[in-house]
Amino acid sequence: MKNRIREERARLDISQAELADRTGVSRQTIFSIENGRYVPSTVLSLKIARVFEKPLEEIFQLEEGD
Amino acid sequence: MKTFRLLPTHWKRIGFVLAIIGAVLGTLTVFSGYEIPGFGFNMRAEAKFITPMFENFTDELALTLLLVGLLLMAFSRVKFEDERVQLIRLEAFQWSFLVHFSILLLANWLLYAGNFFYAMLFNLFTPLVVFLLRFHYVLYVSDKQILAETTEKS
Repeated sequence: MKNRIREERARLDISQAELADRTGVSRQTIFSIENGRYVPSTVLSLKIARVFEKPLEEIFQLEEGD
Repeated sequence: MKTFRLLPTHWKRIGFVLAIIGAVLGTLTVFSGYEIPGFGFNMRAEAKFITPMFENFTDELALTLLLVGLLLMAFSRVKFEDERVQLIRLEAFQWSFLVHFSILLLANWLLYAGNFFYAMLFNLFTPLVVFLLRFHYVLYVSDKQILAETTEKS
């Protein structure tokens, strides 16, 4: 699953630590999601999308093979 | 989502201390036959073959300390317990089961009599020990990778 978290963070000028704080996870978890090492749960995905004030599909997209 | 309730973080340290004391006492009991003097009582009217009149509880104490210590370590939260850590936890449990039953399977065919008994005695602890090693190893590696990539970028 691809995601646009890094781009969205840059748009809002927020750090990984700040996003982690606002979604209730660790910075390591945000880092792992950004790098495609961890696929977040639906609840966490929705929380991330809410921070960026965008629909879920604009932040996360399925890849071939998903 | 409701997840399995874990103990507060500080229980991990308490568990570590108990497990070390239990492991040292257990090793002394198994390999040197050490018994805490007077730590027991007469359980039977007379001694029979392998069951003595006086039962010393040093080995029971060692096993209890070791198991309780390992359980406390395994079932206490890490500093930041979130859903990614829960997944690492689950994978580590899967690893521990795989190793535990692989050892059982191998020992079943390769070891006999006393050797099989000793292998099973140590295999009692593999689920908890392998879980703890795998869980903390994956957390350590993941933290190290993040630190390395952050340093690289800055």
